[in-house]
Amino acid sequence: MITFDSVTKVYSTSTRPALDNISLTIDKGEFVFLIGPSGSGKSTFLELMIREENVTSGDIRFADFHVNRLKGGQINQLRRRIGYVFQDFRLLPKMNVHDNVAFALEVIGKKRSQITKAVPEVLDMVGLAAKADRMPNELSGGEQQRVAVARAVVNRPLLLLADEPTGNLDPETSDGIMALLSQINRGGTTVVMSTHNARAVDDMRRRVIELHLGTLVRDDTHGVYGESR
Amino acid sequence: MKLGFVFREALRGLGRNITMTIALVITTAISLALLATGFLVTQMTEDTKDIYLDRVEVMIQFDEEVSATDPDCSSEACLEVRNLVEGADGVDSVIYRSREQSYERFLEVFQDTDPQLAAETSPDALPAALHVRLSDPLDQSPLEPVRDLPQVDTIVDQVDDLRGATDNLDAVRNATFLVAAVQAIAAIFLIANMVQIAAFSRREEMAIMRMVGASRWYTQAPFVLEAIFATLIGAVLATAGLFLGKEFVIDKALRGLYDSQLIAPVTTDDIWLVAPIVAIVGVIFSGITAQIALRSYVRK
Repeated sequence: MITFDSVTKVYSTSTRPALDNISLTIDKGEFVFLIGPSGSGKSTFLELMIREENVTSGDIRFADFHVNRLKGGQINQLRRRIGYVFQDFRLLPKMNVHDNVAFALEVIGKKRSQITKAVPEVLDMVGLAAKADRMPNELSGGEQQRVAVARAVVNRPLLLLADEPTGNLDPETSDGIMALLSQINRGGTTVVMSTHNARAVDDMRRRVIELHLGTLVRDDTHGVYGESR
Repeated sequence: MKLGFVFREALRGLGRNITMTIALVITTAISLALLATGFLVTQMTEDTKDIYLDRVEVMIQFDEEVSATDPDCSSEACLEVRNLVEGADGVDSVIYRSREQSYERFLEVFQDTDPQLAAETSPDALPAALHVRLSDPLDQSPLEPVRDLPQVDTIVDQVDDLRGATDNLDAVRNATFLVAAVQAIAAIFLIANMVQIAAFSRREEMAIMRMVGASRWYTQAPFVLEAIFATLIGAVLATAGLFLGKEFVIDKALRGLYDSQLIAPVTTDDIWLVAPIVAIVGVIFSGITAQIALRSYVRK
């Protein structure tokens, strides 16, 4: 599903690699926590996956994509197979819930009939069918993140990347988002989530990949947030 | 590719940056109108040249002996020239005007416009001449056989005077194009600025579009279309301005010159011909400018 083969990323502004010779494989349907302190390389990992950045050396493969060799329109095709959830939700403030989700389909040229069918379904899945007409500023933080998740999965991606999706939420609301991500994962979507949320990691006991200063320091199949017990 | 989305976003963008849009529309309208005016003056110059060329003559002026003694081109010297010219290819007509007839014609022309010159000029100052109309006024080869004959004093070609007159129109045209170019540069900077402001105000949407894999068409076309729409509105205003300018300014100011056929009129057909060309040029320029501005602004 995802293969990192000796991946190194050095930004032009720094001499130290943001990721240093990382090799790992993530199988289809896995739920993976990506943990580590700030500056450990978690965001770079995710940005390389969606080709927001490209590797300095090494190879990344995802499904049929040789990610680091994609060009132009191929990058768009890659991104259509990956959903992305941000820590700060990034909903469009002038669009209601329905339109925020529909926007993701509209801009990749989906037909109106597909949009009319897919959006209510995914809003129902995230528990916001009744709030489709609300504007983002009328929703709680947890609800806004649910809309962001709905937008990320409405095109049925193979992989969902979440960059600290519970970082702006209180513990209870975070649990709700984690439950939602688990539900999406049970549906067959691979989930890779960077997080500082120890409670979520410890509760779920899924695969944990820990980075430190760009190197892979731990890869536990059923890990916890702290040291392996 | 769904045009509906792109058009809707472009129109929304125009409304969102309304003050910038108005500035751009006005600037493009002025620069396109000036560009069109340049083309119209060019057309007018060409038409005016045609009017004059239809009328210009070449005068073969005789020496004093023929001028003083021959009232009807019956002398051997005059007939020699006349026969040579009439026999040449490319000559439409040949009329002999004696010294007296030349003087009468001179008085007709100058008595009203320059009475002093008319009063001070005696008939003796004017030579007898053959007035020749050439099929092609710019081709003087039919006159070569007579140019060096001793009884021929001078050959006066009015085309030389015509060149002087049309040079003035050419100068007007060049000045118009120059101002149009300066305006166009202002328009290009405005377009670049407008596109960047539009892109900035929609940076969140663009970030989402990039993240979900929207093609370049979806992310960039609305901005390019926005500039093109504004330019098209400018082109429509420019065309309207040209018609109004022709109807209420140019036609009135130049009516006298039109009537006396001293200058070729600008017709509505001319404007209908030039307006679409100028609009297309404007649209292409604004599209390219918007695209370049976006490329430097939007990371793909």
